[in-house]
Amino acid sequence: MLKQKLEIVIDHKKCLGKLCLNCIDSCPVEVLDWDREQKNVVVVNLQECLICLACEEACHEDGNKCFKVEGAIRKEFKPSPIQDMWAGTGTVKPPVEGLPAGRSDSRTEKLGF
Amino acid sequence: MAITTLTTDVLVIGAGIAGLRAAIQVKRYDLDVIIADKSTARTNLSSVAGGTQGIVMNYWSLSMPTSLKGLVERGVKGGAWEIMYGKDQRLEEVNAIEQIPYQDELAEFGVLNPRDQKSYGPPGRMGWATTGPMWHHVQDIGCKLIKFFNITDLLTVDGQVVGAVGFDVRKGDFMVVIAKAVVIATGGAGECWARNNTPVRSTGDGHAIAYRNGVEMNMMEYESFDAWLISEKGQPQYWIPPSYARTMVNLTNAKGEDFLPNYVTLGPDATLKPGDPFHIKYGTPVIDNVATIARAMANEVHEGRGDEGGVFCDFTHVPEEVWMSEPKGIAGLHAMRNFDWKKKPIHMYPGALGSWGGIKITEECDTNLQGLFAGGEVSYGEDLKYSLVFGVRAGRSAAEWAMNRPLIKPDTIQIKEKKDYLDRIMSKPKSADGNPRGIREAIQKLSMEKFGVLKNEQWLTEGLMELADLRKIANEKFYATDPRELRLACEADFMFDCQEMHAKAALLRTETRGVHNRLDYPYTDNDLWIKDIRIEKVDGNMTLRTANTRTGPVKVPGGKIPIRGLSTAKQDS
Repeated sequence: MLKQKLEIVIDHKKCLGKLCLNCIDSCPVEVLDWDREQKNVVVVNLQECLICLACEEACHEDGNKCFKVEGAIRKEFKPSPIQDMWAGTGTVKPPVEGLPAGRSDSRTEKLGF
Repeated sequence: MAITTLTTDVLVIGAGIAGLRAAIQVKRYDLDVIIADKSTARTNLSSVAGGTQGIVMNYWSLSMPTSLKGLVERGVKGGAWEIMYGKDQRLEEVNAIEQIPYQDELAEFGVLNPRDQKSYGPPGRMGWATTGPMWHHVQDIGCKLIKFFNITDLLTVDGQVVGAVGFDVRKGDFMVVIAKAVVIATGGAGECWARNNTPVRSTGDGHAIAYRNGVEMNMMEYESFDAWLISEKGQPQYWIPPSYARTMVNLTNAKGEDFLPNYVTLGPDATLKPGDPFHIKYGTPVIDNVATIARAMANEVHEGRGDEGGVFCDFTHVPEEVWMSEPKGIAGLHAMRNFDWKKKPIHMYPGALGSWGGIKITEECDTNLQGLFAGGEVSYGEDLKYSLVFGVRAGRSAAEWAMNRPLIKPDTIQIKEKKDYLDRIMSKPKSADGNPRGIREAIQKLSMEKFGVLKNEQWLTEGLMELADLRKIANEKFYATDPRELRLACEADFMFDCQEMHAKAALLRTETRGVHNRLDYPYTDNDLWIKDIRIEKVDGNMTLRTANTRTGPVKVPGGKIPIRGLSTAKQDS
């Protein structure tokens, strides 16, 4: 469960508005929109936010850093035991015997390319 | 609208995996490439979906064959998506032979093997780890990537493609690209359904553009629905990626029954013990047959054993360390708001994910329109492997076609017609009936109700009639006050074509096969239906015909095979 409150913070003074639209257009679920009356970017649908951070990344990409998603999970995830299992490096054994483990390149070898 | 004209050797429409890979291939022939993306190149399914990562990291190893013959067989028989024997065996053979080398080659474009990545990034955008590096790579090698360039139609001279037209989503300029060859790699049409696991821009533009220009379409009835989509009220529609935790889930209906044994073929060693991973609990050879699970969930809800339009997925017993060590898609669950998956089960119901069919391609990715090539989800297949293999092939064929050919000047009258079409929408007055967003939502709602996971003749016929009525109004009233709204209007217009093709093909296929579920025909009919349904625009009308599916080394058994779960329901009633 998200512990911190999710919030999208936009610095409207820095925002390039209609010339940019990077944040609005990067969102896969239309959380953001352009407010025609106020002439700025607005959050219209925070409930649907997947916290994918595409908006923030797209905004920062063009050097105009006016956008931040507060409260997002930015944790680095370690490789899972399952990934280790396929790589043949973990302690978990594949449930079916005789399968090639791990990376696709090792499969390439096994298939005789 | 001001007019901007660009020229290039090859135009690639779409900047997902197939489009980017096609562009890289064209560049190897030292040709000019323009990649047009109608957004920021992030809202494509390859960047958002996690299957991309899953396939690279060999999640499917449990059922991964160890020989080429096995790979072809698996492709033809179905694998996780299970369109058994309904696929072109030659294309499956090509895919089996080439998929692994092209996956390995991704490393050359800077894509890390998921195992070597320090971070899996945020939830909800797993594919970016693959498309992101490719996106930078194409620009490094000199491809011209134009963001916010929405292609709306092709330009043809004497039955040959000579370019495309569209508009700039930010400035509103009308844009003409004159090209020797065009590659369509626009992805699928998942956004046509209200519940979906696709980004907002996946509206089937390429399907509709190709169809309108007389390109033959194939397998349009096959739309994959992903079972693992959260349908909890007030929560985002997070997708649970393929993972160990996902296979440990207990799926139950509103009565608390484990319904899956009614739908899957149980293995001899099935324990049926709650909490065991799927392959132990049900003993099935395929770890995670998404098509069957989606069918099962939908049928439970359809027969009144659902709760709030979904079934229960209980993860409460899954140890936290399993969750926390799984890659980022699982983090979606942690990011749910005011909902603790450790305390209560989650509602789940399938949502549209990928279009299996689309533009009919040969193994060289050419179409029946000269100079037009297609790869990725818009043509054949719907995951990373297909997108890579047929992306490469589309790029190669387009480059070979473009190499020794001159640029052909497009017809100015044709350009004017296409521009007038857009101008007309921009000049229409605002009205309640013509709101592009409203029309789009109406199509989505209608599709979910009438052309959803489960189909029958009555729903399909009713849906087609409603769709036609809606389209009639929309065609007269569509308006747009700015270029972004114009994009919405064009997308809604493309969605009409996609859904009409989908529903008509689904109506014609009187059987159930894989992701195509007909309640009135609850069996797979191998005697009658080892056939493709081809769609073409003839004299302005949508014409459907059947053609034998290309067979190959894998023998197709005959007879009618009843579908578990669906057939029982039919017999009971």
